[in-house]
Amino acid sequence: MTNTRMKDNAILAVEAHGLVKTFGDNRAVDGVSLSIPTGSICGVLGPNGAGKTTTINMLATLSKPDAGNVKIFGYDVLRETQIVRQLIGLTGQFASIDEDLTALENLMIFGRLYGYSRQDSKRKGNELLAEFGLRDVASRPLSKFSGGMRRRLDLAVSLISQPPLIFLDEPTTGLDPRTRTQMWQTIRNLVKGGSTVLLTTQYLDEADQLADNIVVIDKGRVVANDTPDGLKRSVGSSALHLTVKDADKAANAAQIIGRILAAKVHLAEASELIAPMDNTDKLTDVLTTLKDAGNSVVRGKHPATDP
Amino acid sequence: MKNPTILPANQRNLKNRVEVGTTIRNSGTLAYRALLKMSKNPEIVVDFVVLPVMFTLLFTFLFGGAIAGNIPNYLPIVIPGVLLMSSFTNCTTAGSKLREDVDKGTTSRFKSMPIARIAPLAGSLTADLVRYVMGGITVFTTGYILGY
Repeated sequence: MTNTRMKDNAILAVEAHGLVKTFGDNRAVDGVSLSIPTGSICGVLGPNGAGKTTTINMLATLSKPDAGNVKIFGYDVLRETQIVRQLIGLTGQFASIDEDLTALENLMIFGRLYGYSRQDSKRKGNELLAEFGLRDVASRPLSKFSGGMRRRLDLAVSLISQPPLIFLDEPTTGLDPRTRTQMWQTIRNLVKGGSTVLLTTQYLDEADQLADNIVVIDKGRVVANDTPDGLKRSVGSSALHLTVKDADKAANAAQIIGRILAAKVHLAEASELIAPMDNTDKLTDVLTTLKDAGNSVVRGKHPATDP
Repeated sequence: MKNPTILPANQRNLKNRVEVGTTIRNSGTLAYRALLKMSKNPEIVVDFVVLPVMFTLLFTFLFGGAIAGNIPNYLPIVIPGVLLMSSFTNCTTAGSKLREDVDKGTTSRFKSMPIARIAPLAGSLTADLVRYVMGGITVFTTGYILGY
């Protein structure tokens, strides 16, 4: 079956509805729906064990969803698996390249697997190594590579076939800040070239830096799906952090703050209170009322716009 | 290849199955990978070349006389035995290599690629075949020298 169907250009790169994956009693992914337009970066944000990797595995044809359906560029993941595999590149959490082989050998083997000739694989391998700043170490065995170099090579491997959709599972976890910035630049360049990127991360700032759209996942469910700015707005333009001296009076202080700011106050640790605050003018009101009520504030913090 | 332009999904010529030729090519590439890895780890050679030779010599000269009376009589017993033993060692190595790939996520990556599902296994088995043959040749050569 040869497929040369011309599809609508505005087609979604990823369209997933109600994905469910259970491991025993654990519903690792519990009804995740995603839609990613072609040419954008989608950041999937969530803590450890939220179901990010499980979701990616289902999108990347590694595991079958227990319920729900996924379409990659309009192709069904379950029925047109082999087509989907020609359209995606997956860079997992663990560097899946061979320690014993050199960088170029690794790239060449994957190039051959994607169906390129020996010469083409070598040429593509060398091009990618140059692009990722690894040309000098091309013939060194990987066991001598640093963590950042391995990550970059791992990403390079997924790019051999120039897939229009790239999954990156925590691409910068464990990288130092400089390498992280380099990785971000690489990802931005990918999108400039016309790729669509889905990346998972545990860091809000990473998602904020890169993503056009952020999907927040927790306990297998999508809890928020918005642009970075939209997400920030929903949290409030700024937040009030106060620590009261007397932990016993924290609940009372929380009530007072809640009344003045008309917002839900979150009691973080023993006596730290956090509340969204749109209008910073109310800060004085809060402080004076607290003082009148006999609560002394020991520490206050007012992080600017970053929630 | 700065900022390569990616061919959009709807302009690609895509097939939903892997052809036999591709399957064979994929397996070949992965067999090459396994052999290349083997050549980078020369200590594996000890397992399937040096060890069988040592065992053959050891059994023949140490126990040969006691078990079968003399060495030429013992060789037909010990050579197949050592052959079997070296195949088992090879099997263990092959299994642990596959397991290593699963642990490191290499298998996941292969699974996400448009290659034949059987290729990672077939490739590794083909590479093993090469090892078996090399091991077999070594054992028989040793036997031949001893008078088998």
